[in-house]
Amino acid sequence: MNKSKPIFLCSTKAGSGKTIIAIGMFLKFKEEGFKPGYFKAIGDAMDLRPKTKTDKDVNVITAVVARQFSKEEICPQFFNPGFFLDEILPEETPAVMAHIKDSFESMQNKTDIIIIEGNHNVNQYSAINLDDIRFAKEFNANVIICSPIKDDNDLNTVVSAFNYLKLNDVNVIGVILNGLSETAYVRIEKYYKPLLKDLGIEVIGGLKKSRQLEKPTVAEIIEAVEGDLICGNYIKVKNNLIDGFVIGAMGAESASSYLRRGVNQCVITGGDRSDIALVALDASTNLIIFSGNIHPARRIISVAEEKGVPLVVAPADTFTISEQLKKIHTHIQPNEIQLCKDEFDKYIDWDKIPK
Amino acid sequence: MSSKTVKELDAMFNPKSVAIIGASNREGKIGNTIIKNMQNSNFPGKYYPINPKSEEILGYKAYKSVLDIQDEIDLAVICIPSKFCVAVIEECGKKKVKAAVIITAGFKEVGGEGRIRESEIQELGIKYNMRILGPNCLGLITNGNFSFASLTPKKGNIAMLSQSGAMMTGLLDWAVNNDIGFSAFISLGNKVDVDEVDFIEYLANDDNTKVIAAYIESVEDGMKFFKIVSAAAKKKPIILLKAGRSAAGAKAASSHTGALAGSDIGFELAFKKAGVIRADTISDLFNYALTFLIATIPKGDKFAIVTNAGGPGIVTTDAMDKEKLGFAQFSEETINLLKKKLPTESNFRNPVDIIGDAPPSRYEDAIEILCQTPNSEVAGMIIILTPQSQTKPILVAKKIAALKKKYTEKTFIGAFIGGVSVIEPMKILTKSGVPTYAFPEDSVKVLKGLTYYKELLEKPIITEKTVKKFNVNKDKVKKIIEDAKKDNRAVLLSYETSQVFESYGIKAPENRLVQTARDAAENAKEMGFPLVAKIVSPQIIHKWDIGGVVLNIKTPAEAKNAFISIMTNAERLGPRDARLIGVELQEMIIKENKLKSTELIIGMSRDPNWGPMLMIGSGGIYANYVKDVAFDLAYHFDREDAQKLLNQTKISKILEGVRGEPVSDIDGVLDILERLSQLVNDFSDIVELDINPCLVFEKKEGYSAVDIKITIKM
Repeated sequence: MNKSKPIFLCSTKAGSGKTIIAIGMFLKFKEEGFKPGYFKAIGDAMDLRPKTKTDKDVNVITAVVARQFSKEEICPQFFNPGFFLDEILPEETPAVMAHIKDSFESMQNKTDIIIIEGNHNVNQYSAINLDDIRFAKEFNANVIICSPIKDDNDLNTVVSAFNYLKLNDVNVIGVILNGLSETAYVRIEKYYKPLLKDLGIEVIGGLKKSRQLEKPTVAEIIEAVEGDLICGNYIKVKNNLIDGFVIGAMGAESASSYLRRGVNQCVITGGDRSDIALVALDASTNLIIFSGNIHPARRIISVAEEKGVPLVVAPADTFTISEQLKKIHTHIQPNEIQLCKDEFDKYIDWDKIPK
Repeated sequence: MSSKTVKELDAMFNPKSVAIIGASNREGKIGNTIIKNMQNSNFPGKYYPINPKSEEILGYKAYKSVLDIQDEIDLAVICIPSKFCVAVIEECGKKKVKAAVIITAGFKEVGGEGRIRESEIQELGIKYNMRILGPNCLGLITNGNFSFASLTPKKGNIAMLSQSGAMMTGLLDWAVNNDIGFSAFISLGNKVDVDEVDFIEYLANDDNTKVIAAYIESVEDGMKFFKIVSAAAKKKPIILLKAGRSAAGAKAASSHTGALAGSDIGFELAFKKAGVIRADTISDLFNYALTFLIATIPKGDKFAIVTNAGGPGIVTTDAMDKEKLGFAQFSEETINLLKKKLPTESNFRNPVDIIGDAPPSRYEDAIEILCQTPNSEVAGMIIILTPQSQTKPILVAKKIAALKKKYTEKTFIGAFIGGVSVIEPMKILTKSGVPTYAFPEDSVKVLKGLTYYKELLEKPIITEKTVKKFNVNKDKVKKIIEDAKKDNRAVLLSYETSQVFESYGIKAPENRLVQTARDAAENAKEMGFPLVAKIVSPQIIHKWDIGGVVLNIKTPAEAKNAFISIMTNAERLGPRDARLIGVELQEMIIKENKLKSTELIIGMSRDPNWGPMLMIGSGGIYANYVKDVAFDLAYHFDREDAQKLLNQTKISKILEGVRGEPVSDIDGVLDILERLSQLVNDFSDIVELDINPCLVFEKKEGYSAVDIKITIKM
């Protein structure tokens, strides 16, 4: 089979769903008889502790999707996005670029088509000339803009990114709109598609918000709050999704009304709030976090065991925990790979992707 | 559920052979205390101590296992470490032991292994059809003392149940000191099998028990409670002290029991429905119990006060008014009779003041005159005594005792205010069927308890009440709930709630969901004006608070702007990650166009113990602040209940029409309550429901359930 031009997924901002699309696309190419490859020039090294150094998306892809490649082949370079100048200065860029290109070429030799996942946004690493424009050109790729859409305002960003890439002579083949709410999904057909078409931008697909892919898991939450599981089997509960958070600081009767409305919720409360914990255990609760490292009464643990709801104690106070939870960035879990493919099949116009 | 019946509890109340598993010769060991308690309480049956290391314990042959005993065993009392209990219960099952009491702690209350052990024991109880009390309890005292309490009370006719073991020891100690006897004294523990309701069912048919009293912290199964307790309450008085009335108390109870406590109002209503007398304090519990043991249940509902002191007479009058007790109005004939017998300074009306120098004969005269009235005039009386030099309390007590014997139909309650000089008279009165207290408030309270029980006896049993069923579309509601669950939503959307109500014959305005501003304009044009627009999001509870409502939309352009404004506000002020589904357009009712329009709030919250609890009151945006609401359980709820419920609110007066306003559609409101009751009884998945406001117009114009929220259990 002839080598196809690489496909470069470029996003307008973080959380655009590039990894979901990349995984879905990878599996689709495979299904169609291609030998696809996956490449991410620069991965995140958010935490420099050895066990978490590599990019979490890359970890999942090498572990489940593209097992024939090593992590190093897939992602040759890691930077901490907030402190990259401590790791690389502009004069070191040529050497880094050469290393990245070597890895890319090696991948190219082993595959028919490569899906390249770009940086967090189109501007990232512009300061060291390692941004998406540079990579798209170096790798001679067709670019698809991936953009999360909350409301009409995000459409401006899409158009602006398209114009910016065009100005820089990058070949953009279209856009994939992602994370669409109920109302935004309605707006695609009604407003966005005709508008973008008039501007010469092809809409390749529009992915609806996926609960499974966007909600954090119990494991991600435990990690975010640095909590200890005091009740429940980690292996059994780690992939359970959390749909919402409730701070249980009110009276038990008021809490009841809020907690009953929640679905698969995570409740954060004090260890001395047995009343709140019991109300939570009677509602649709997937996790209870007890703040300040205060353990709940044995009776509560017993009820949680009976109901199969995991309990976690975390060192921070309730307010701090809620702040920590705001910063959770969800990642694809190994058990969600097939879902990425299903979403891709459902919402992406395969014919619009050049092979 | 097993095929167990409470008849099998007989093995706990009248065992003829008891195995004490964990029996010991060592002083201080529970297994030693239990055998000594059995001996001290003169347990008439056979003793079988079980201890693999002993040949003989306290003079009885010891066995290594229950399986080694040749005889049949009625009851096994188990006090060995929890880790051995499962195996021992299995042995008891094989031995066909009829009942077991597990005193040992370390089960569900500690979680982990303990919880697993408790469920294993539960399964074994079902497998071998063996009734089990406990674990984690003090034991029980029936025809012997099978507990490790330090004392044994005398035999009597009060059966006492306690969910707290420590409370039981304290009460026993107090009861022994006050010479109170019991037919049974039972510590409930973790209630792995037998709970308070099972015991109530058994005790209702126990001839030795005249009154059932219980201290409880939780109820395991509300529906079983209604079924059993309401029937039992007809046979004998049941007095319950439920801990955790306040929010702080409920919190403490929850960590003690691990049971989800519903609101206190739920217990209050359930006790009323089931016919239980609720005690507020431990002393109330015993006051009621002792009163019911000896006092006459009133034959009427009007009561007199006879006093030798003005002040206490007034205090008692106040207390009667507070408790809403009927205050007797004497006939002219009664007043004339009193005038003939009493000094002119006396008060011949209620309260009858026979003044400070009253000798015993004056008490006798006044009381006898009141006893000769029909029960409809005076059903009973509170007799107050303050010890003054002429009073002679012992003689007064003897006179009252004689009158009580003569007039058995009349209810006498004493209030002998004093210390040393009233101890003996109080004893005389108590022995004569006149419960007497040192302070009038206690006397009034127990009299209230007696009248409450009298009313209860006149009412049909709640479970036997037939409730009207409306013709409804249950399948449609079922489908709506299933769809919401599939969509992972605990809150029904507005158009769904409208359909639910329509299916149950409750009127709600038409509404439409729109997802773009242009759609809003087009739909508005079709619907007509004026309209209301509201955000549709399962996570946004208080739509007003986040700018999620626009009223009085009169043109398509306004509908368009309303959509944009609501969506922007919801995004800006709503909860993070709120799912914004769109905006609903609804017909707006202009109050000014109506002759009369009253805002009600009507709702339901499912109580974890007692099922759906209905609520009605003054509605609108100030509903939470006005707090003019009344509650009732939807269990066997009929139109009469609906009327009583509405009557408890202040807004009901407004509905009846004041200041020349017409009468509102009260029938419509009652209809909503009845239909709502049927809906929430039909669908246990509905955990909360709220209509606010429900606009009620004058009779001909009906009502409109404007804003409805329904939450379902996921």
